[in-house]
Amino acid sequence: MDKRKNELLTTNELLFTLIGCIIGAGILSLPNSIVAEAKQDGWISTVIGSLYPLYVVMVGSIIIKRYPDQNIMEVSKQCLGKVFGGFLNLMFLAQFLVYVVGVIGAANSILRVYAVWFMPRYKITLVLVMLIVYGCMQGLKVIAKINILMFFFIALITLSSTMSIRYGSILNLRPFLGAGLDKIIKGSIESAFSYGNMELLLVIYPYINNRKAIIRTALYATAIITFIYTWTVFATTLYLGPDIVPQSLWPFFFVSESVKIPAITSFRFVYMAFWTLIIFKTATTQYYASTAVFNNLFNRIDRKYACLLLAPLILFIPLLFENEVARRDLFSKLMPWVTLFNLFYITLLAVLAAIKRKTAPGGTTKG
Amino acid sequence: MEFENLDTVLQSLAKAVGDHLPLKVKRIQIGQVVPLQAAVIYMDGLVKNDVISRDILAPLMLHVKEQVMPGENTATYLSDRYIAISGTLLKHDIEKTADGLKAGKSAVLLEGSAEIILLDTEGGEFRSITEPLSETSLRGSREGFVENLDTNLAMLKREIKDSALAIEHFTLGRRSRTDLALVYISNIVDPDIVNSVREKINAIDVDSVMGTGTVEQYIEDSTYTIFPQVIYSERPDRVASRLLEGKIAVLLQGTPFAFTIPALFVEFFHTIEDYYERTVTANAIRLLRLLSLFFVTSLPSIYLTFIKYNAELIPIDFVVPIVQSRTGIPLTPFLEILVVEILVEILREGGLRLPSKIAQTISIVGGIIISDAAVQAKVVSPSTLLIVGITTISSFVIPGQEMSFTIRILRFPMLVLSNMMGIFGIATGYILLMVHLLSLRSFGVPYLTFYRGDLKDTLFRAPLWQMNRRPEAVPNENAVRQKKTKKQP
Repeated sequence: MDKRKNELLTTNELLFTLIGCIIGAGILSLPNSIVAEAKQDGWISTVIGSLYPLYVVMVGSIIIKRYPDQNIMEVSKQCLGKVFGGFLNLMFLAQFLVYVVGVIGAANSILRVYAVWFMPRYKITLVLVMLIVYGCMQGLKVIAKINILMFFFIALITLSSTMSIRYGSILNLRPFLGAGLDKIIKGSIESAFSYGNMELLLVIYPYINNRKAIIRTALYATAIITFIYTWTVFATTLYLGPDIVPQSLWPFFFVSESVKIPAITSFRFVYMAFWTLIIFKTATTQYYASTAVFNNLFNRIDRKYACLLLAPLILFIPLLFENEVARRDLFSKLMPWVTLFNLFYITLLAVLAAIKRKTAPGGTTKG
Repeated sequence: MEFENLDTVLQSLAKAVGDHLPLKVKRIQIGQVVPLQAAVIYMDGLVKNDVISRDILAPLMLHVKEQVMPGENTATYLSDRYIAISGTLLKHDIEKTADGLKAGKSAVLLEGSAEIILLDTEGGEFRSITEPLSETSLRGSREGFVENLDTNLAMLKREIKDSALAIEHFTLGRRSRTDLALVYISNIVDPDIVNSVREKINAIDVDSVMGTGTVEQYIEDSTYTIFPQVIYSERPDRVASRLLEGKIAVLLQGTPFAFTIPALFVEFFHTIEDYYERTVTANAIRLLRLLSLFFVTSLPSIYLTFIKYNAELIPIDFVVPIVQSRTGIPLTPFLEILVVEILVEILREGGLRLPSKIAQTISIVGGIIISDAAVQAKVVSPSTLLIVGITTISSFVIPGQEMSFTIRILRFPMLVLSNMMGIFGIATGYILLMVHLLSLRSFGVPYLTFYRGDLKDTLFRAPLWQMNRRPEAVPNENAVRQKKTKKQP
């Protein structure tokens, strides 16, 4: 038994980790902002929005091919020097943390609204952060397996939402392309923010056992995410109509609750347990990425300690959000910058990697 | 070493065996003209006396019609020509002879010979092979392991006649000198795991090992986890089927419980019957077990969440009866459930070690009289009793005592978490469980892991003719279990 091989991620684990890092409780609120812009054509915007993760994978593939043994942080230091490269890595760390904070903040609101109204925010945050830190300390392999397990919940929820079709009206989706091209584009920019975190691929690619399948797997992941996102927006619009969707903070919740089984009043109980697990998985995977970048910045500090060191940040910042609306307002201003930074960071490094390949063919990849 | 004087050798042998352990010594004379002085030595109770009389004493005393001269080859000559026992060893070493005597062998000492003849006369009383009590089977073999290691190994050899079946012997315990056997199939098992287990067993340096349970604790990976990392069995067919999956069996003299390693989480919910039953029915039973697992861990906590926090989620028709049944009960829902749960555990533990007739009384007094009185006295509500009753019965569906106990214990922290945080608490419990299970290892092998091929035998079981490969989760050297045994429709 090759012990090291045992520690590397399999193709399946990579696939589900990428999906798990991106799809989280965000799909509950996903249709809200998109449909507000693109109305009944929100689902088309969602398909177009997938260009963002696709871009990250395609441009990232240049880096992956050029530096198969180093992750993006090392590439950054190597291409841009320790100071500037390190600074960009710090920003890269910050953007992952922004996502974690966002997920925890959103989780707080969902849980308080739908399940644990009796718990104060700080208690929910504290418990969530403790779970995330504990999960994150167990390492990438365990996180990958959590993601595999959790994908079944996501699949189950997606599947159960198909029940809503019989209550929906096709009129809600008409007229097709009626929202206008500019609105659809605006909507797709909005949706692109939800596709964030494909950047995780560039952090973990040296730990995959089948190097040849990395890009293919990432593309599969993108396809599955696009499908689930599009279905979410489509089903929600079909069920609620483009006018009601923007009125609800978590419109998809209505769709997933449309399952009716005799003797069970509501599936909410089951769903809330599922959502808590899904939220945990998303935040843990993103937090893993943060600690991995941190570990790269400060080599001396073990990644497990990094999990503890960064914990105060994800514990206190979510407490600053007054409510869900304020949180969304802040994030709607923040996300464009985060996304722009990621685009800049990845494109810059890919260009440098491509130039280096031209100037030094067959150059060593050892750092 | 030259053994000149029979008495000197006898004394040193007695000393090696132990001053306070009486040895049976039968002095005999062999041959005619000038008879050779000899002694047959054994320990009472450990040998078959009739074998000694018939196959050692009678030929040596009565049938040697020649003069036997003391010399170098005397021992070989006598054992080749006169002693009619198959297991014959010649030893020079007093210590090894003493070990043999303690294991039930008999020794023949000859005047003037350096060699001691050690004869296989092991006997004594052992329990005969009976049906295993803790793992009864409806359609499987009725054979269970016994306390005798040799009998157990023989049963395994009968199950697997493969030439690659390997048995390694160890002696554990400085004082108990207990025999332990490590059994595996050499061309299936992963050599790294065998090596690590061998190392761990060799590192055990204790006074005594009395049961496989103690050996388990000396060699397991994680001591402080609640989950068992080895699978116990009394059934040779179950152990054999696990050996064929590339696992290692550990058998110990003196206990009918063998264990196999590495163990995976899902395997604790499998029984050997699953493979003897038809595919569809076997899967229905596995589904039932899964449901029971969910009931045991979560039903009390879900019930608690419903009545304490989320009454709006109780189906409307149930609200009134549940609320009515709880009126006048002074205990909080949490305490109420906890009291009943603890009571049930006490009843179970009380009944466990009692003779079956008294245990029946306990279950009647405890189950019917006390629960009825508790409801009458307004200590608990009937609905709580129902929930706890379902939980208790569900816990019996989980096969294997060790996992059943673990799962039963788990419902207490789940109950506390749901009392504090409602549904979020239950989810928290599941997250902790999930992360713990995924990070746990049994002898270096991930305790819970997912391989697509292994889905054929995890929650459900594929038809036997489809299970062409051995489980991937346990590393092995030979992945193919069977070729296509049936033409696929």
